[in-house]
Amino acid sequence: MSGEEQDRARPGRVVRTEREPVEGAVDDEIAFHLASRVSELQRRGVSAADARRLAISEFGDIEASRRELAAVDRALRRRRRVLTALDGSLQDLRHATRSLRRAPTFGLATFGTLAIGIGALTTMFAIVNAVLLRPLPYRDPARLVGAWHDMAAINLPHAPQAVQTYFTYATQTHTIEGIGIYRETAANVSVIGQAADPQRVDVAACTATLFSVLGAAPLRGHLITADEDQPGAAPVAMIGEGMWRSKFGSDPDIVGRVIDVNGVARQIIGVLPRSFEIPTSRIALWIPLNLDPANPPPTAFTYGGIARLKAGVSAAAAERDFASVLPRAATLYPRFAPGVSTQQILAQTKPRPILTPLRDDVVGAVSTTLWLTGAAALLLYLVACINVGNLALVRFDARQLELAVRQALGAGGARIARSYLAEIAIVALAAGITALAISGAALALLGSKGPTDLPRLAEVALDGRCVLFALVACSCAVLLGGAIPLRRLRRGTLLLNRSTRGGTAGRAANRTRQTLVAAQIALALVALAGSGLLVRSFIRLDAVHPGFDADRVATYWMSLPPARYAKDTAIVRFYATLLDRARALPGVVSAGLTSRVPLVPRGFNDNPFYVEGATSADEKLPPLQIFTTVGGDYFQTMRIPLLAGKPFDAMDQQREGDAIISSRTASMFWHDSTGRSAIGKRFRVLPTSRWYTVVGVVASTRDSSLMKLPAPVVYFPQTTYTDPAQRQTARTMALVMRTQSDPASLNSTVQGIVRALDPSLPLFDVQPMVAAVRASTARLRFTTLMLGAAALVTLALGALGLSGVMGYVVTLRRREIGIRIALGAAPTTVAAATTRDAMRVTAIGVAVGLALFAAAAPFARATLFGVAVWDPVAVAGAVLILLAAAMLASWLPARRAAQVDPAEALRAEA
Amino acid sequence: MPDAKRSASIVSGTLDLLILKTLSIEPAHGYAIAQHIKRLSRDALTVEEGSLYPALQRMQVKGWIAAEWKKSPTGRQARYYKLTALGRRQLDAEQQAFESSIAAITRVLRSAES
Repeated sequence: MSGEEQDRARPGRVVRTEREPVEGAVDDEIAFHLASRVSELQRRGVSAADARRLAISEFGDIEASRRELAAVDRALRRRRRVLTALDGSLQDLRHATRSLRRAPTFGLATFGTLAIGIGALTTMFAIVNAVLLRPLPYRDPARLVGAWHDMAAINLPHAPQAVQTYFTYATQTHTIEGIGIYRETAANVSVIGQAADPQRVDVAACTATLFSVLGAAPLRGHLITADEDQPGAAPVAMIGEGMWRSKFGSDPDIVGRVIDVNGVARQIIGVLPRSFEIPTSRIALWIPLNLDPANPPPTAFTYGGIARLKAGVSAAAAERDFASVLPRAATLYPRFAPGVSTQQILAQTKPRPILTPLRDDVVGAVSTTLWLTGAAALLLYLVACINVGNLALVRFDARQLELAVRQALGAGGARIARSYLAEIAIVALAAGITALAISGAALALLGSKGPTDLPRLAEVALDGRCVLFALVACSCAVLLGGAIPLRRLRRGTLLLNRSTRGGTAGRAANRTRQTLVAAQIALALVALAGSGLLVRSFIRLDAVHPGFDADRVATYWMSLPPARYAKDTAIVRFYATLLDRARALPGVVSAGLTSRVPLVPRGFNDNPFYVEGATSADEKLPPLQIFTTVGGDYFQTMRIPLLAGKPFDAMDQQREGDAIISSRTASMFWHDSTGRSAIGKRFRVLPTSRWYTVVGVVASTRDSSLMKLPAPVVYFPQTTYTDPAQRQTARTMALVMRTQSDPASLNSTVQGIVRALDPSLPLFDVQPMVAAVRASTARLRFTTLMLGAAALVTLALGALGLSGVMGYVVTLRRREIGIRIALGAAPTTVAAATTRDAMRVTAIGVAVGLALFAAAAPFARATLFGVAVWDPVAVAGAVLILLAAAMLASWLPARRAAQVDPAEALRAEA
Repeated sequence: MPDAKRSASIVSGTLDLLILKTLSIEPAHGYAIAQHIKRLSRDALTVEEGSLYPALQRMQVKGWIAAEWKKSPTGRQARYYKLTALGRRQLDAEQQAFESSIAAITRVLRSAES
């Protein structure tokens, strides 16, 4: 066909080249050229043989030319093929939209199902990808490790660094490029030059090496330098992007401004971007530690460490290097704490250096939550895909006649398949776009309303990768939804008379449908049972008695900066006055002070407890206790019962040397949970320090988490101490008040009292104790909510699929049902028979689902509380819910079908 | 008269321009294009046929020219090429670029002489 003919055949399309065998055309053209040249030369009188030779030599390398021509020709033909295919696809699309318009229910159902499924999956992908999969936003992040110690001897598998170990690793190892340490703390911060509005912010005190190890880049200014980290250097600070924007209005000249941090004027030298989340996303201020290797502070193991491995060095090799140099700490930095040598502490704690991927430290415990939620989204998506498969199958059957006609008229199988897939593709694409919109909205909601402690939240965004993912999810749905009917298309020719054959529906079609339904039920079971486990955990956790009464108790935190409260007596005077004024407020039942509120992750202070007369202390560190400082009527206010002995005296009368222990401590050391035998016994906090006497024993509380058993706690009175290296008067404390009515009603009054005492003192974490307890279970609550919602949607989709398929099967069997009823069967019997079929499918689905659940459930174990992975209530509950849903979904259409007039059913074409 | 072997071969890039120019007069087959260029340049430029046909095909791919098989005056089937609208625009552009670069070269030569 020549180009002109083709142009005529397809008006409106530009075809620039002819269609013919490539090689032939090339040869013809070259042959024509040579012949023309030969005849011209002959005309000039050259002999025929010479003319031919001359023409060929003039032409040059004929073969090369031919090859090149053929290549260009092939490229042309390829392009033409693509154009033709595109043209065909356009036709398919036009055809598909037409036929979709005729079947809006199918289109809408598929669209809705997929939009929900792909939306949920894409949202979870965006989060999982940003938080768990993407490399950390630091230079060459694969070489960054968290540097910790495994102290198996004292049951601390993830113990931090000490200044002594840090300097040893920094100077002695040869497998790392550098190591930095940090300590999380908090400070009262106010901007100098702004109206006094002091704020409590989270602070990281760190070495300058931390920044060089991470290879972070500041948003403004510069990172803390080694000089600025020297002992005695002028005080500086870096602020986070959030603080820069909110407190300084994104001031471009921020560098050089001064802020007051705990009474110390610090010059701002730089701004760190939001994506810098070391140690956590809460940190708003970074200050240098100014450590002096010649005189390390007695801060023990309290620093997080981050190291950068040299290129090509494995974490295991570096761990061996660390372990081999660690003993040198004893000679390089012999003093660990007053009266405690480094040698001694290394012998007692037996630290084994461990280097873990930094990502684990950054992401932490949230990864389980995210993987679980991601898995739930995947289940939802799969069920949605199967639903689409089911819907497509029904649609395929409905279109069978039309397709058969097209096939009989000569349309190829591939052509029919394409036009059919186009229909699903259009719907899936629309659903995918909607799903992206849903994801965008969900992520925005997460950013504004979600849990604030989610690490790397700043990095979560709907980026190109998510769009690509949604596209893949779309394609998978099209393939899954389209593949099943298409397999049947390939298996044999379509029958024109199929729809008029009547009787019962095809066996193969039914089997496919039943397999799909069974798969849906299996997946829904996994989702239901999984969220059932979490709901049960949550109920169990809610029933746990924390050891105190949170109802109508409010907490107000404050911290007295050393710059203005240098003396212990000043601190005690402040808190004693505050307590007196708080007690005098109308509506206050009782009030106390504490350096640590149960279930609030603040003020934890773990220390050893050397009992008088115990011999083992030299070679082994005694079990760690949580040291807490309290004052006033703390135990009475929290309703923590006093089991034995007496409470502390009033704050200004209390003398140093008394202590109250928890019943857990009493049973640990004196094997007496009533505490009576502990009264009057003595202990000390360092092997050489003064003795403390146990004057009282109180009941244990759940301190770090409702999920964990009560930890041993030792309470000291808030008073002045003679040796600040051993015990210090607490500067950061919470006022705890029990009120007659809603505790929040007193907030402004308490604020006023504190203002009157010290106008520059910020109050923070002002909240009812009930809220603190709730917050401690926030993550489980969030996980339960997400999984529960996903399970419900999965169940709804599954039930929808089941009822749709059952309804269709019943419609197909109307004739058969009609015959049976005409022959005398009771309508209910017929309906029951149909339901029985559905229940058999459901039973198979349940069995497969249980097997899947058995394989998957152990991964969720860490999230569960108080329930076994095979919790009978959760699993049986899920099975029962599914059976009920299946029963309902099949009984209703069966019942409806059985009630029709048999004569009518027989007349109607099935 | 210079020996045919020593006549200037066509600088690559300008071949396209010469072909487009030739086809702007009337549609022609490959042999006629080669002859036309040779004749107009008074044998100063010879077209290496080995590069002529690939050039024609490439220009087809780019959409500057279109081809069809027609009977030639001698009675044989030959592939005739004609300029497309796109090719005409390309010719204008190349001609302009060529002329300005020639002008530039001339300026350089003159200034070197003076």
